[in-house]
Amino acid sequence: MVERKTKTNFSIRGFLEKRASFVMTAPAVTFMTIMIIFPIGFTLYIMFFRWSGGVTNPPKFIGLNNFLNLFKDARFANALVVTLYITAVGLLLQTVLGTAIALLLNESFVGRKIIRAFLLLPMMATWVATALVWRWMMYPKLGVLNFFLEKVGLPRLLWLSGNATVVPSIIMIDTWQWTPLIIVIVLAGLQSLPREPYESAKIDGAHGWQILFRITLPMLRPVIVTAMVLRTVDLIKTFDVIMSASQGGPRFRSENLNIYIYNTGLFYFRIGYSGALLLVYFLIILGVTYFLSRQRGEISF
Amino acid sequence: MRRAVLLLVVALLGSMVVFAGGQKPKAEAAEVTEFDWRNFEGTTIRILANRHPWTDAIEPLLPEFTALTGIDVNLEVYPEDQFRSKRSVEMVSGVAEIDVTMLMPMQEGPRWISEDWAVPVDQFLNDPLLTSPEYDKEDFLGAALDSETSTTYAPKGKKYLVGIPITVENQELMYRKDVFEKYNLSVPKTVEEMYQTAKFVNENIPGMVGIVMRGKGAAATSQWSSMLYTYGGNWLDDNGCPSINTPEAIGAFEMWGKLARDGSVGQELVAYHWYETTTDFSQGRAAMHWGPCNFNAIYEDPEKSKVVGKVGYTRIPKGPTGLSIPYIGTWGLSIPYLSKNREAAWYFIQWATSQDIVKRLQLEHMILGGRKSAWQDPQLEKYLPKDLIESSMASLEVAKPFNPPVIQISEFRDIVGVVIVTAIQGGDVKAAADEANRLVADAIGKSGECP
Repeated sequence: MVERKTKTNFSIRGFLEKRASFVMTAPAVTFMTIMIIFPIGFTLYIMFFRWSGGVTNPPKFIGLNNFLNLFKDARFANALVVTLYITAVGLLLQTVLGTAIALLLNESFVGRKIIRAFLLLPMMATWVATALVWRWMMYPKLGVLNFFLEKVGLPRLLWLSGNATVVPSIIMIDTWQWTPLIIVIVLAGLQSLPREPYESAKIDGAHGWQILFRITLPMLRPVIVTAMVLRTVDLIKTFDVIMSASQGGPRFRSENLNIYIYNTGLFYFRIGYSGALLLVYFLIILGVTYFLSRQRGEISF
Repeated sequence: MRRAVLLLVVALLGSMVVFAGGQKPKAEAAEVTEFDWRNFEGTTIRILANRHPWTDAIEPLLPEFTALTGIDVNLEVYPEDQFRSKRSVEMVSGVAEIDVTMLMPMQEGPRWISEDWAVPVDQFLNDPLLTSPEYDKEDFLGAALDSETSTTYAPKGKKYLVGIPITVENQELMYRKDVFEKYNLSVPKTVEEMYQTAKFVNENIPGMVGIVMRGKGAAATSQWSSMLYTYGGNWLDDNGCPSINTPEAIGAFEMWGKLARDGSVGQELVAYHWYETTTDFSQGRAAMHWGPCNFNAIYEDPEKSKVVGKVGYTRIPKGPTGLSIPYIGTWGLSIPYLSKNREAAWYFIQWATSQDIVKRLQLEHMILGGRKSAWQDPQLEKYLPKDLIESSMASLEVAKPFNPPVIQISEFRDIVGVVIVTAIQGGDVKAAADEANRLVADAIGKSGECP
């Protein structure tokens, strides 16, 4: 019997050399598929189902009901308001403070470098740890903030435990932590500004405030808007500060969209509904980012 | 160079595909005619455990189990959050083999029962070939065994034991004996008396509040559950509809709010979790503490407490209907349906919950177990106050689980937490409770069926 030998000269080495581009990217592609593409695809699929994550009770198709329920959900409306509140007030405070401090630090004075380094510290610290320290400081009974309030003769506050004070407290923590980011970006922008406009302004006899509002800020606008885009996305997504400081309480007064979605998906076993919430959340972030990016594009010098 | 890179790629890809499969020795299927600890010799079982004092105490005893039975034990321990999520993933994926797991029935029971994840342990418990004649099952405290019974969570389903209890805790009223004596106060027998006593302390003793308990929304619901039961209320009615806006439940909410405002730290109670309550009580800033019995470990520790030896323990006072029903919290051992060594797994549970082991854990490590014999051991009085032993034992006969018996526990607790905060803040409790009842009906998928 004649043995038939395989004619193809197949060797692993040959294959690898010819298809190196596929082989080399395979781990990354596999990783992306498993960790990113599949979860996104699954979320887009499951949002049309009611599913509690169980095996014996499989997902049940309910069409657009998850989206219709959004309109009846008071907690969703509340989370939307809280998200807007934190984002709008936080952004305003951080931008104004950050730009002002950056302008100050751009002047030359003794100890400027040390102060710059100190102002960056909050950003370097571990997020959860700082939020926990703030929680202790804001603790109504023994917290150091109420101690100081009493010292100067002001009434004690409930801080994170009060319906009306919880969101301002959270904005305060976030502002303390993230204003430095705006300072860094604006400071870098300030140092790259051209000198010529200032020289002409001085020759024309412009004074300090005029230079600031007519020359510096308009030229800085793209830089400030970039910093604002970064902060806006982060503020909409605020999670760790709330989770460590108030867990969304009291009475859901500090529960933003991110926390609400986290609860519905992971703890309430409303997997389909949380998928629908995620889509809405994603569209909001996309819309806001798009709007802000356009603001930046209109300016050039 | 190129060759080396290619070899590296091959090695990487190879390691992704190949992974070691574990060999698992199986017990011989010999004919078994009588109970023998060595019937499953040679088996290896995998145990998933939470990082918990019980786990720390049982770990050094495992060689004794292996010596007795010839069964090898792989104990995997994770911190509580990782433990729960790891186990959920393994259960849902259905591929892993867990032979024994720690389970908190009031937390995970409803889900495990609805998914049929737990192997009913009664079949082993009642089988004389599989359970030692010395294993006295009548010795378990009533509420401890009830909390492991499926019908406690699913009244209309099949009745079976989800697991066997290993640790228990119950609600107690703790009070300062010295303060009560000095001001001639008597230990409250009813909730109303407790309120009056707390109010008296707030008004008359400087630097001290009457009572502390949890007030932080969802975190407070477990402690509040004893008040609910004591007022004659419950989470659900007989039809499985939420009943947290009944007059009983509203009475319990209102009492929590009155206690907070007139007999405690006021609105600041909204910040109170267990840490705040124990700090206040152990530092002598509160006359009473509505809390779990095992905080006695903090109060009797001279390094952490200023009130060592001054704390009295008693059953929670009676509500308007004459009931005093504290909550119970239980950890148990269960056999997941994934186990392929169910009998060997039962041998482990049987050994770990035997009279001897439970008694040793309770006396040597203060792990409060579910067996009467361990609680009744005269040695125990060396370590625990007598009034605590007596009130706990009585409580653990009648107590009820601290969570609502539904799968959506987190959502239920978050919603009820809002009513508790409303009560503490002095808001409209009736309106908040009505709204909460509607939201809970929605959350547990009963909005169409419930009024």
